[in-house]
Amino acid sequence: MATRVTGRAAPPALRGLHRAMAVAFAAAAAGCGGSSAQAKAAQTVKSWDATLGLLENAEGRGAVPKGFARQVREAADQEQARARGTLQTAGKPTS
Amino acid sequence: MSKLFEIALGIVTGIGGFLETGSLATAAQAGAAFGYQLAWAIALGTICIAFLIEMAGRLAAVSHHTLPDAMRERFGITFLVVEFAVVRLVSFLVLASEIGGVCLALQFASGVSFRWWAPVVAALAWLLLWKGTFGMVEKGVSLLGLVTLAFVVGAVRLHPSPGAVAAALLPSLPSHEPAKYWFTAVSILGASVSPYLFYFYSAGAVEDHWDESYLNMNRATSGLGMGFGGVVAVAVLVCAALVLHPLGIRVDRYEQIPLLLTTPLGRTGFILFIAALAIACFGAALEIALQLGYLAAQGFGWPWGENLRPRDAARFSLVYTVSLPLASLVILAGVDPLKLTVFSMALTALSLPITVVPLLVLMNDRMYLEDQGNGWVSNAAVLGISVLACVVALVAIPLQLFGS
Repeated sequence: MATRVTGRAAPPALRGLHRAMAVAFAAAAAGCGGSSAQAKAAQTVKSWDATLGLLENAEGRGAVPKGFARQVREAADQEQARARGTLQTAGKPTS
Repeated sequence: MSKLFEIALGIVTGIGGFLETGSLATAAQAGAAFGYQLAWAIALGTICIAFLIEMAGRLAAVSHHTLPDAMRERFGITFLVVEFAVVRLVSFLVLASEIGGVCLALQFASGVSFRWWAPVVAALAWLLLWKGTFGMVEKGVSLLGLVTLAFVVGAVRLHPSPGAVAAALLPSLPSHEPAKYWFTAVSILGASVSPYLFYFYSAGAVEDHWDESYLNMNRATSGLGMGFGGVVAVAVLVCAALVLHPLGIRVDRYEQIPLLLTTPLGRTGFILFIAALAIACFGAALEIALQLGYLAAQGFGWPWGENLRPRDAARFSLVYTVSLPLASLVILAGVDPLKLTVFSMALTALSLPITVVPLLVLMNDRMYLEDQGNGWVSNAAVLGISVLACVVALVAIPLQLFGS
């Protein structure tokens, strides 16, 4: 049976580790407002076109219910609209 | 119950309980974006969690201490408060992600938006914790979780190249999108090495009254259970690599992920996917909610135990009673479950040294482990993987967030 040990202070290395991790968390949280790139938006449009192709194939085989297929199409519409908005904004000349 | 049966049950529950929203989403994203290339991250994460689970079980069996209990004794209450703040934050985000996963499964099946399912899921989880026993939560849900083996069946039916999959188990540098590659790698590591897993395991070992006669069972359960569980996660990655990657599909939303199984298994695959997502995430939500209760009760010395009546462990029961509705509010507010999942997994990776180093200190303390302390292999493997995950996370998270 192990001996009980009570109330020893945390080793200095662990206290330093806590401080370093707190800085890292703050840095990660501060980065939450990053913008998406134009290339990523174009890729998103293509990716969802391909998703709809795959969905059509699955529907043709009766592999997915109609309700789910509708959900995927709605998601595709939302994501593609967002990506096209990014592409249009990026295409405008800056004054 | 014979030891052999217990070992088998432990391995089976390890497999059934391995996959949850984090490992599913990150493996699917990795396979879709990079093919097999990130299989090494799942392998590393699996090795690390197998070691950590084994350590948590060994600590409980030899010293009869749960992890928070031992940490309070060894490092003092001030350290414990900081440690708990980090583990609780990460676990709370993961709990919200798991509730989100169950809600999405219900949305796919019913058509009703995932947000409206959040209070229902939280209430059902609370009811099971309030009325149920530890065995029901640990073994019952994990056994149902064996439905996640559908991904292995799906992967086999897609005929992957075994050589290519094996080659991807060795780390390699990205050929494109390095920021996304490393961010996905740390998210996979975070999903595999969630602290709730070893905290929950340690509490379970004490709930089940383990002693040193359980050490071999502990080794078998952690090694084989986690090892086969990792195979399920690799199977998800293989399905994504063979179904989504060739078509250039990136996983931006959960709605794309069921297509992994409908391609090899048809309508059955769709049904199995819904069942796997719902059961795996619900099981993980139960375990995390319980772990939040364990963490507070064991750390502060309150009465605790899922096998006790709630009125006999009132503060322990209060913690999960409050945590579940709070986490469901995050989903009810409409936070994107996939983004929440991936971000909380990356934060988990970032926090690994804080959660893992104190365990390593305990595991090398002869006052707790006597002659059952860690060897250099387990120390080096766990420390190396945790520090690597943290360093990569420090670089990859800001890069990914700033869109570089």
